[in-house]
Amino acid sequence: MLRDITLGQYYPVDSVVHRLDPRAKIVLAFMYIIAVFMVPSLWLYLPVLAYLVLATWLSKLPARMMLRSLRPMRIILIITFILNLFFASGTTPLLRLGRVTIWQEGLMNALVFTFRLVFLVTGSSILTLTTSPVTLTDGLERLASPLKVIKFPAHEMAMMMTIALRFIPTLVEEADKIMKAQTARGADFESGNLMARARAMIPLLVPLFISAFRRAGDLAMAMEARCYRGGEGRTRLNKLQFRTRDLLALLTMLALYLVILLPGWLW
Amino acid sequence: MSDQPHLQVKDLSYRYEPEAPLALDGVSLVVPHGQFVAVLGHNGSGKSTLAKLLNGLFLPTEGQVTVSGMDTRDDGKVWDIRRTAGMVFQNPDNQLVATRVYDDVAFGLENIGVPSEEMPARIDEALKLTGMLEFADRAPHLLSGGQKQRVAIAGILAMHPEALILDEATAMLDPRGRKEVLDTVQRLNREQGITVVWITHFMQEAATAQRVLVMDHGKIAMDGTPREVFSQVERLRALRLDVPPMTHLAQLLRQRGVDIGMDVLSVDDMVKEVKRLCPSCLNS
Amino acid sequence: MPIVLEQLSHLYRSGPSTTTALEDINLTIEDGELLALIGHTGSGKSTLAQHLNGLLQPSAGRVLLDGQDINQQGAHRRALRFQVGLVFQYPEHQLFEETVYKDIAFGPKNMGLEAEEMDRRVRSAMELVGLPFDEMQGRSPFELSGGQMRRVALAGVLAMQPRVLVLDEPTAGLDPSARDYLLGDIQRLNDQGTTVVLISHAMDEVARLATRVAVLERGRLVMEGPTTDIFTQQERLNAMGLDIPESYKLARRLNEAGLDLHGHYAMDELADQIAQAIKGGGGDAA
Repeated sequence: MLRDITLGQYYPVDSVVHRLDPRAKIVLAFMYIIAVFMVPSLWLYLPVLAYLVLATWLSKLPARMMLRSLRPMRIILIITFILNLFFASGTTPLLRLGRVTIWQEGLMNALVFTFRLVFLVTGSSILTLTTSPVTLTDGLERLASPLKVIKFPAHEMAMMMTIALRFIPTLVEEADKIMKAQTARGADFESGNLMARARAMIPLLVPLFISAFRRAGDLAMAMEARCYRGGEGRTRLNKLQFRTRDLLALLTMLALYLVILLPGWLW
Repeated sequence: MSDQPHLQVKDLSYRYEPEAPLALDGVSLVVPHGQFVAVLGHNGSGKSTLAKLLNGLFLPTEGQVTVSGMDTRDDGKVWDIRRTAGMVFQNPDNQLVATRVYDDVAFGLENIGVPSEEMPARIDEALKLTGMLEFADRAPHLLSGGQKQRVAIAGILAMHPEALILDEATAMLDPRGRKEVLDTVQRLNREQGITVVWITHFMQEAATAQRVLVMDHGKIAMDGTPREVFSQVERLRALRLDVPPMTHLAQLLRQRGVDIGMDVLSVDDMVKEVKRLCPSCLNS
Repeated sequence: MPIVLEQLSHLYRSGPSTTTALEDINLTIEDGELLALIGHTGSGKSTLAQHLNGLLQPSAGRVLLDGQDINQQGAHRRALRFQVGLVFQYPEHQLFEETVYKDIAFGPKNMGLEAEEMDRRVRSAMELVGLPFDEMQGRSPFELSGGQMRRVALAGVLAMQPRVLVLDEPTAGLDPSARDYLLGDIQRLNDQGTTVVLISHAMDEVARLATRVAVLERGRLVMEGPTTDIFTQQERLNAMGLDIPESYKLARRLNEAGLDLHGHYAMDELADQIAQAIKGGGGDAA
């Protein structure tokens, strides 16, 4: 349910991956994505698969959880596969179906692209499954803080994300309440054509926006009263510490790069 | 703590915009250290405006506000003032920032630059004082209204304030939540010596204060002990305020020719008065 | 036109677990009465209120209005529900139109009323809650005071001319004068024949208005009866963490000490009886 959005996808168990510094995990996820794009041939997905299985095991995540992350993607996966299979041309025909020819290159392409997507989605979901949104925000803020030199509002972005996470459940609850109140006044949110339905949303959206603005005003005042004055001079409750294990994690990624890229350099 | 008055307001006037009428009109007020003051007044009487001037959220149009000797118009002092005089607002949902109780209590400490190592001890202490320690890992939106307000109070306590200003902090709570919050604040006042400005329109809450102020049209209309203030039933009515039920009953008895004291606030007071007036009516 | 709740139960499902919000409620709301529903936050009062006009579907049991199930399928259903007006907590948060008039007309418009009838109803609803039509109808609801906004929201429900009015914490967050005003409105509506179900935490208000009180605890109806009978059971209510009105507390203390106070313990009634006892120089304990 949306009420639990503060946890997002987060799967709260205690594992070595959960305990990694969020900055390390973000960098790892980023490097992993690049690695997946760089895989030069189909069989080199094997080391990526091995890496993924290892990471999942170390994270103590159930396998079904990983597969579930693919579910919303299934249509896209099928389309990707079919498009690449039928619309690629090559030199080695594999199968003729009337006027359509399936080429061996087409099959390879279809497999590569589909695997690429599968590995991207499952791999990056390890990041969100092992890192709570708050920690993730913390990590992003600190990774981006060098960009403050070029006026990138790293702290403000992070604060906005935190506040959004805090208030989404409250606003969802409020939307439900307003919807009921208007239904009691005879409003109909469910029937009619698209236009009628869009118009029917006005009695819900106007009060919701007004309330959101009121809350924003209240919150700004409360934050000021609690001495908030932006990121300047702020200390943090959770000091992020880059430990040996974070370094080791990054080294495993370098190892993966070597395994994927070395064959290309050698031969 | 020093001998100087804690909160001092001198000829204070305030308007929201240059052309707007005065929201506060020449208010002077001295609150000594450790006092529990309740502020009453109908909506628009200026009581919330006064609260926001007491910790520098608003700055005086005219006159002066000092907190522990610091002038709120002194730019360099504004953060010290807000740390010293913490504020709790009406809507419990709209003042918590973080997605976890513990992190929210840390928010103020982070803002004033307390070193990370010192935070856990201060947060634990603040949560203990408000009885919220067992909820440290909860998400605020899953707490009751009274619990949310106690988290808000804990967030202030962690900053080691000397005064708490509560701006109708119980208005949106159910009776249980109201009692939770009032009990917590009374205990902090008693045990920690924290000065309290308690803005409310619940007369029964005001009746437990050491001192009651009644605001009207931006001025202080009445100022005294609860008994002194509530005994003036007609005057309170004229200011569009209630009186506690037993005070109301005392007035009705007076109208019926009973020579009852007008400083009756509680059921206990009323029983005592009946006993005094008619010893033979009651058997114990 | 009584409302009858028959073995009404309601379960909330959240993820794998279910919570029982209401369990086996049997309650009849009689024509023209002013019934108060009391109980803690989370006792199921608001859930019950939402069942009274079909906003929620019972997990088990039925809600009968005039003998007809309000959750039956068919054309009747909507019309049946319009007979029960529901005023939510902080109803001013649902206002959305540009003018007071349009907002109050929202309900009648959804009912498909003619323009003329709609106009008549908006005017009478505004009069009922004491909003002067000419002065207020063209104003934006968002520039009004809190008490006025709440009265606009109440008028928006009254304009649908429900025969039963359900109010969830109608005075929450209002200052004393706005509260008195609203309570006066509710009393007047009930005097004019509207059945009222009042959900409240304020026991003094309940004692002042209600003729009958129903007490909910953890989704069950645990007490029900005339207001005086309920509030004289101080121990039972206290055990549930509910308070009783001050006037009842006093009456009980004085009666235990030998006075003979009786009736509904309304303030002037109490004053009469105590004054008499004092002037008479003693009760039966003398």
